[in-house]
Formats: sequence, structure tokens, C-alpha cells
Amino acid sequence: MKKTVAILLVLALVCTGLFAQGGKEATDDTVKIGALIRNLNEQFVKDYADNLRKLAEENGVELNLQDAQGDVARQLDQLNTLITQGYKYFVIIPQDTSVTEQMAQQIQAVGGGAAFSNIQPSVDALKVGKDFYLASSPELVAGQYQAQIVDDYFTQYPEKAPGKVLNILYLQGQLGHPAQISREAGFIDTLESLGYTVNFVAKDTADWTPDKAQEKMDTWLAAHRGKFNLVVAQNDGMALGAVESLITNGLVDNDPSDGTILSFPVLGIDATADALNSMDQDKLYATVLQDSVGQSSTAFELAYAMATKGTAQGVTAWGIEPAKEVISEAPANDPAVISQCYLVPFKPITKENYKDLM
Amino acid sequence: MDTTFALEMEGITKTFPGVKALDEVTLRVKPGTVHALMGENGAGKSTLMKCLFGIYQEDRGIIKLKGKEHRFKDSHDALNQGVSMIHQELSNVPERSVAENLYLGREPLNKIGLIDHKKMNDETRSLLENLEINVKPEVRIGSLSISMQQTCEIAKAVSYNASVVVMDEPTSSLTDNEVQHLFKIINRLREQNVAVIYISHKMEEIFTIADEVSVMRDGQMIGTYDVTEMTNEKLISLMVGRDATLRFPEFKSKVGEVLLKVENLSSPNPRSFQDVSFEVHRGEILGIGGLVGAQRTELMEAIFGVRAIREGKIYVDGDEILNMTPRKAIEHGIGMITEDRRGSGIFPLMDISNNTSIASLKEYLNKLHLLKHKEMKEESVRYNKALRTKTPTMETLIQNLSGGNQQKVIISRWLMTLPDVLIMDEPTRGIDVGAKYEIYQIMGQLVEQGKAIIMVSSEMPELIGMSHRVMVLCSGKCTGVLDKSECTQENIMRLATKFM
Amino acid sequence: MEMKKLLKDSKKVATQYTTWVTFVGLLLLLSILTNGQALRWGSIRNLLIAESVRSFAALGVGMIIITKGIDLSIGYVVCLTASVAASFAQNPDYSSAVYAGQSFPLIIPIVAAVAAGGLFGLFNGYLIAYGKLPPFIATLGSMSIAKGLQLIYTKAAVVGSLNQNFKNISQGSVGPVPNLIIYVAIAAFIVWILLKHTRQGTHFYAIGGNAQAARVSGINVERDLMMVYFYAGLLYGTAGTLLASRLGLANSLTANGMELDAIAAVTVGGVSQNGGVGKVSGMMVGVFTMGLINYGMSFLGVDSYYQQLVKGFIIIIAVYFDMKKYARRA
Repeated sequence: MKKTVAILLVLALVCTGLFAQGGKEATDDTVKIGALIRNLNEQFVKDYADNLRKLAEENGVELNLQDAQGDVARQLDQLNTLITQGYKYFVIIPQDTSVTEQMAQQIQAVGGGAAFSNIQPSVDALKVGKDFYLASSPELVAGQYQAQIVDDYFTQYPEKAPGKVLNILYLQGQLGHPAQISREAGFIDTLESLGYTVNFVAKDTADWTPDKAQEKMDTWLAAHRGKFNLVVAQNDGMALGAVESLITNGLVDNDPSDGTILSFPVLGIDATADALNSMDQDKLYATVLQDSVGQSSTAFELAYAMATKGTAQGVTAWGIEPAKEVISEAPANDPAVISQCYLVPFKPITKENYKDLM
Repeated sequence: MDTTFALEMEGITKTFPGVKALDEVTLRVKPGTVHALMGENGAGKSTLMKCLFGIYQEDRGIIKLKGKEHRFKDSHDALNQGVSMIHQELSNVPERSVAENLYLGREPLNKIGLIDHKKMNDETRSLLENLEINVKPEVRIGSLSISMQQTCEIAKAVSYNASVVVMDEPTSSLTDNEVQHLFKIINRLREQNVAVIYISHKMEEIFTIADEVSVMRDGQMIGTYDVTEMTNEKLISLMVGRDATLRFPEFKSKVGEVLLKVENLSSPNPRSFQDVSFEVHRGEILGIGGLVGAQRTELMEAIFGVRAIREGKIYVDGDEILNMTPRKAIEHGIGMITEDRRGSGIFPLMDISNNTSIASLKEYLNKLHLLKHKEMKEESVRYNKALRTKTPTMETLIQNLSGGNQQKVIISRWLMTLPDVLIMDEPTRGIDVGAKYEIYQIMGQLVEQGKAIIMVSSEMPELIGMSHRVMVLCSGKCTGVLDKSECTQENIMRLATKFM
Repeated sequence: MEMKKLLKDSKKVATQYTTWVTFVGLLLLLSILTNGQALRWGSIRNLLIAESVRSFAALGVGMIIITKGIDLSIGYVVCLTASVAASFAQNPDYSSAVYAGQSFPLIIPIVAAVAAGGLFGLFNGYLIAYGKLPPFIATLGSMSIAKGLQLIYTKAAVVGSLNQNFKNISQGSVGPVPNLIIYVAIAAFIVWILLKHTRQGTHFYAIGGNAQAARVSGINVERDLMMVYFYAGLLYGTAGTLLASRLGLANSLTANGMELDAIAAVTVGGVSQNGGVGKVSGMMVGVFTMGLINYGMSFLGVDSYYQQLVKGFIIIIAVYFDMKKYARRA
């Protein structure tokens, strides 16, 4: 019995050994690009990935796309795997900013490069080498645009916010998520600089999802009815959950003249198809477009340039040139790496322009 | 009388890898009789029954029911054909009522397809009345005593219009009264022309209830005999294949000083043992008699620290032990072989060696406080050898041994702790005659070595044959202590039923 | 004749050593599918690193399952301990550090995280052993408590910008062997000693196999049960430290869902949910089997949705054979 075990084990090992010997690296010259994507369960990320796949096919690129399923450790493992398989150039939506430097170092060690989107890489990550790029829209800006839209609204209807006091119900994304932190900071800072008193009547996470947002809102509406004048969500999914809650709780004035039939304006971010539909029905007040196609096209063109020419320094990707002036959000706030930053614009989406996207 | 047999099993052969479990076994059972099936554990009784119920597929042989060849897919199929089995272990759903248990899987339905509880309860009531079972159909079955639950299982078998009922050790957890009631029911079955196959180790019962007895040994059928032409000794010698005139071994022990003393021990539960005092001496076997429900096990568990006590004192070697726990008991040289071997005895998925040494690991630590596996194993082997435990290897899982051998492993476990006082709760329950005798021998040797044994037993002959003194409990109270000379069935019975 | 016997024995081996057979089979399959690429040292090294932190969780919950318990709090306890470790290892000049402007010796984050894990273990153990709460419920509660504490402690922010010395704990290597692999080997060795060569380890098996019999055999069931959760807690604390060090950060998403991965891995590794059965070797093989599935599929570029599916089936199949093996022989 013991002997049989031994025989089988040895046989198995010999076999694997043989295969291991026989294995040779693929030597053809197709362009290989690795894509490390943080979580395909999110609409934005999925759109980004779909566009990447499309571009890869059009350009004859062998694209290996890995989904980290929201786990930093898994993303690092996937990077290791792809590097072992000979991938050198990457398009990355990191799971977390803090891990980008480590990823860049590993890629630099094999002489490759990467373009980061959606979640910002750290300044240090871009400093690892000249071929590490930002191809993204700074999250702060999304918050700033939300603040701008809020300002426009209350400038038009000052009686709805007496004394420039905003009493806000605020739905956060997953706590600790970089977008959650930056969008909130951009939003608050801009409003305060515009002279508003920002008062969060209630603020909590709904984990980016509509159903949790609706649940939260139902509770808040029961507790804080009449004590707030604005509802802001960090993405469209949660914003739509809030819209549903307002409707079922009867907080509707049926007067679309201010842009919404709800008693209070509701704001989101992402400009998803559902959100645009809701705007068309005068429910959701406004949103901000985070351009998944723009980001992924820019990142892809950078990676493609690296893979074909060895570097992408100074190229124009998807019509965007490297930034020249620093902005307030990292990593584009450091003059040393500013030439590696490709800023894909956010776009405020309001009544005036939403039809362009439909 | 009907000339066809209710059940015929002819030339049944079943081989397992390496073992011929059944060798051309033939068993014929007449309707309206009680047919005892006897044999030591491992003789092939269970295998034969498993072939009957389709749990095993026999290699060769024919099974006929009322003269017609038949083979059952499984026990449910058998039940529908009027062949049912009452197991040693209960197989009911404790949280459901008696009626629901009886009609499990074939509940009567009303017009719209819902369970017709009224009909179910009515039918159950008439069935129970017919068998003189005094239970209400609506009662939760788990609230009944074990014996009542068992009786209900018999009622269930009857409710399927059974023509053959197999009873596997039905009395192992019953008191004498309950056994009498069971026999009454069996007699009624006999009157209704049912064939009863009665598997038991208890000689007395066979002679009371059975008409015929078939004896098996080593996978072979030795023969079928009329009970009237049988004697105790003859039956035993047929079973073990040798003359066994001695049922209890001779042992000479010197009864010495008091080892364990219990004073006014009372349970916090008012219905359990109250105000019990006794002492056990070196070299003595103290028997504890009583009916089921006399709280004997509870008392023993309290002494060993498994159960709480309200008041009372326990002295070991003259020192009072407060807040007894099993660990303290072991440290003070007490060991306990529990009644429920499967529930609180064996570690089913551990091997023999570990099962033996588990209570004495403390003695086998090296300087680094790591276990000395080699010595542990050697000692386990030594004890099990001395007790003649039959096992393929020491690495065999204990769950794969027969009941008797499991018991020997557990005795080995306690001997390894070098106890002065050994509490043995039903030490020979469910064990075949040969192994029983060996366990008696071990007990004899222990007291000859100057140890004390407290033996709880429901078998009168064992109690009388082995004990120096017998303390009898009734409803949690001590009703008397009998010396060897006064130890008779009648005296014990009188004390055991004092408050009834 | 020889061949026939070999064939028959192989069948026996397959049922007896399900865990190993699954592992070797997957290894073979993967080497064929990838033309041997997946089995070069670089790949194996990646695999070992990827599974290292999970190994700690698996060893902990493996011991717990042997005592017939379960632990659902692993993921969030590791998350909490990782955050605690990270908070004491941040660069002092990092403005959003939990303890901004302060720097601590390297030992502090390690001790703090391991202590936090140990405390949680004691808490779980006390509730289960002395409070008599079902392990499922007790750890379900402490899971939520751990998550709450983590969010409160970090104010839901990422604890990042860790100093290089701390990161080197996990990211360094001794020659070609990464530190993490060495730590796993040490932990597995210690747990092996505990389970196989100490009294308490034997008691764990006894308690899981038959708690009542264990009590009668003089085993202090309550104390031993509490200790098994405590030991597991220490392992989770270590896992948290290593994870923070490896990732260079901790946030509220760190290690989420690790309990299910760890429970699945040890179950595939032959640790029976019925208690009383399980070996360290099995736990480790279980972890690496699950790792191999993850790794192999991402190597082959299989869609992540299918990875979940395949993992599910592997768990069910492995446990099915295991249950058959230990089914009581009638």
C-alpha cells in the first residue's frame, strides 16, 4: 500500500517534470498586454474592460485580463502570474492606491510599464520609472463637479437653502475605497470654498448598491423628514436607490420646473444608462460622467505604444496629451511626474447635455 | 397450523474481502412462532438480517416469503411487504407525536391533500389499545421513556400488517416490568399469526418467550432447535462451540479497608438520587441494582463529577473531595466505564491505541512536555493484549470493532490510569457470551489485585454472580444493601420495587 | 498480475488519499494545459506566496473544526489585526497616519496585531466554551464586532504608507526563498507539534470526536475549547501582520471572505466537519489545492465568473469522497 503511494507520487512528479522541461516560452511576436482589473462586478469597471477587449481585438493584441474580485492580495498574485507568463506591459485598475508602488516596482524589475486608471496610483508609483502613467480622471474632480451642480441649483433657487446652509443626506460608497474618500473631499471642499455651510444630516455607506441605498434612505426619511434639502450619492446606483425611496415615501412635488419632480434634488456620479433614463423622466437631477471608454482607450493606447515602441513617453493617447500643469490631487500634483499624467476629463451631466449621451 | 413457512432463507452466502461472513446459511421461520436467533457477536446474525432487508446483496441463496421467492430493495420495500425490523437503537423523530411517528411517510390525507390528523390519531389510538399500550397518540414521542418509545416502534411495525417482525436486542434498555409488557405484546403478535425473529443474548428471555431457537457460529448455521429440548448450558456450548458450564469465574479476593465513601449524596434534581450513602472496600465488587429509572447511572456520574450534586460528601481514601470533576476523580484513582458506550465511551474516529491512552496522556510526557508516542502505544498494546482485545491492528478505528472489543478497549483505557476504584456501568451490555465471561475474569483479577469495583447492572444473574454486596436503589433512594448470602432475585426485586 | 494489483491498489489509494490525489491530479492537468509553464519555480513561488497568508487562517480554523467548531470571524479579525499592525508601522511623515508623527519599533505592530488576534480568540472561545453559545452564532457575532472595531479604529480610511522595514517582513526573502514561505513552514510545524505531539492536541481530537467521552476521560473540555480559539486567534493576528506587510496597506476590504476560503481549503484537505479528524498535512494540501485552482485558472486566463463555479464543484466533490471515507461502517 505505502509502496503504491510512493510509485504513484513518483510517476506523477516525473510526468510533471517532463512537461516542465518541454514547456517553452511562446516566441511569436504578437503584442501581449496584461490587464489587472479590480472588480468586474461594477458597471464602470465592466464597461472599461469591455472596451479594452474590443480594442485588443481590433489591434490584434493578445490581452490577458484578470479580475481581482475586490481583493488586493489577489491582484498582487495575478500580477505575479502574468509576469511569470512573460507579460511586461499592463493596463491596471488598481484595487488600492497604496499598492500601486509595489506593483510598479515589480513591473519595472522586468523592464515593463503600466498605465493606471480609475483608482489613482501614488506619486511614488509613477516615480518608479518613466513608463508608468496615469490615465484617469481625478476623483476629486467628480466631487467638485457635484458641488458645482449643487451651487448652480441653489443659486437659482436661493430660498431652498436659506443662509446658504446645506442639510445633506449623503450616501457613501464602500468605506475606505479611494473614490469614496476623494469624491467626498472634493465635494465638501468645493462647497465650503463657495461659501456654503455643509451640514450632513445623515451620512453612511450603502456599498455602492441601489438596494442598500434605498433601505438607508427609508430609515433616514422616517427620522429626518423635513430636516434636509439635498440628497447626494457617490454613484448613480445609490442615487437611483435614493430616488425610489423618495418616491415611495411621497416626497414628490410633481413640479418639474426646477429639473426634478422630487421635492429635493438627487445627485449621482457615473452617468450610467439607467441614470440618464431617470433624468429623462425628471427624477434624478444630475450626474457626473466618468468616462470609462475614454479612460480605457487612453490606457490601452499607452500600453500599446510601450509594447510596440518600447516606451510611451510624450505620446498623445486617445487625443489626450500629457498634463503640463499640476492639479491639487495626487499623483498629478507633483511636477516630477506630471508628464506621465493623462487626465481624462470628467463631465457634469445636467438637463442641458444629458441627451448627448443617450 | 399453516404448513408454509412465513420466511425462508436458503443457502445464503456472503463474502467480504477476506472473510466469509455467511456460509450456506438456512433459516426457516414458521408463522405464529417466536424464533430466537442466537450467536456470539460476529457470528453473522446481523449480516444475515442485512441480507434479508436488502442492505447487503448476498452472493448466493434464495429468500422466500410465504413460499414465494422475493428480494427486497431496501428496508422500506420490506416494510411494505410486511417484514419489519425493530432496532436496538431508536429511529423515531423525537419532536413529533406518537401518531405522526407511526404514520411517518404514509400520512393519511384528506380531500384537499392535507394531513388528516384526526384520522391518523384515531387509527393510532385503536392500534395502541389493541396492543394494550397505554399512550396517547398526541403525545410527543421524545417525552416518553425509552421503553415506551420502543413499544411504539413495535406498534408501528404491527401497523404495517407485518407477517414477519425482527427484534434486535429489544430488551437491552428495558426494566423487568417493561420486558413483561413487551412479552405480552409479542404473545399477541404470535396469536395474530405473526412470525417473530428474536435476537438476544439473554438466556432467560429466550426460554420465556421463544418457541424455536436457531444458533449461529462463525458465519454458519449450527442448527434450529425446539426451545423445550434446550438448556442454558447446551445453548451456550452450541454458541461458543465448547462446553461452558461456568457462567461466572471463581475469584478469591481479600476485602480490605474502605477506599471510597459516599455520605448523604443528593442531586439538585428532586426526582433524581437523594440522600444516598455507601462505602466500597479494597478487593470488593459492590453491585448496584435497581430498575431503569432508579437513578443508578445518575448517582455514579455524580460521584465521578460528571453531574452536579446539591449536598453530600465524597471521600476517597479518607480525604473529602470537594467540587468533584472527572479530572479530579481520575487523579484520585477513580475510573468510570459509562453505560452509553457510543455516547460517552468511544472516540469513534480514533484508533485503538489513542482510545486506550486518552485518559492517561499526562503520564507519557517527555521533558519538553511532548507525548511519548512509542511508550503510549506499547502500553496500549500491553493492556489490550492482556484483555485479549481482538483487532486487526492498533491503528484500526475503534468504530470498526465489535461491541465487546470496544468495551475491552475502554476497560484498557481505565486500567491504564491505574485506578483504585473502577465504576462499571452496565459493563457487559450488548456483549456476546464469550466476551462477557472474559470481562468477568478481568473484574475478578482486578479485585484480587486489591482494587474496588462498583458495578451497575440490570442483569440479575450478573449482579448476584459477581458482587460481594448489592446496593439496591428505587426512585433515587437506597432501599437496602444485601450481603452475598441474602442476594437472591426475589430480595433484589423486592427492594427495587419498594416505592412502586 | 503486477499491473492488476497496482490498479487495484491505486483505487484504494484514491479513496484513502483523496486530498493528495486531487492535488496531484490538478498539478498534472495544469502542467499539461500550460505546457509545463505553470510548474516552473517562478510559478510555484508565486503560488506559495499567494497562499501563505491563507495558510495561517486555514491552520487556525482547521484546529477549530477538529474540535467540531467553526469560525466565521476570520476575515474581519484578520482585517482588524492587519489594520492594527499597519497603524503602528506607518511612515511618521505621512499626514493621514493613524498615529501621525510617531514612529514605533518594528516589534510593536507585530505584538499589537498578534495580541488583538489572541484577544478575539479568547473572546470567541469564552463565549463558546463557557457561554455555551453555538460556534456558528458566537463567531457570527464577533465577525460583526471585528468589522465594527476596524472601521472605528481606522475611521474607514486606508492605513497606508507603511515603512520599508515593516514591509520587508513579508516582502523580503532568504536567498531564493521568500520570507512568507518560511513563516508558513514554521507555523505549520508548530501546529503539527501541537496537534500530534502534545496532550492538548490529542484532546482537541477527542473533544471533536466525542465531547461527552472526553469529559468522562478527565479532559477539561471548556478550557481546551477556549484555548483552541485562542491559538487560532494568534494565527489570525500573525496573518494580519503578514498581510499588511505584504500589501503595504490595510483597509476595510482586506481579507474579506477569507473565512470561506480557509474553511473550504481545510475541508478539501480532509478536515471533517463532523469533528475529530484532520491533519496539518491535509490542511496545507487543501490550501494549495484551492490555490492551484485559483492560480491555474488565472494562468489560463479563465473568466473569474467560471473560477467561482469550478471552485464550488471541487469543494463539493472532495467533501463527498471524504464523507464516504468516514461513513460509519455498519
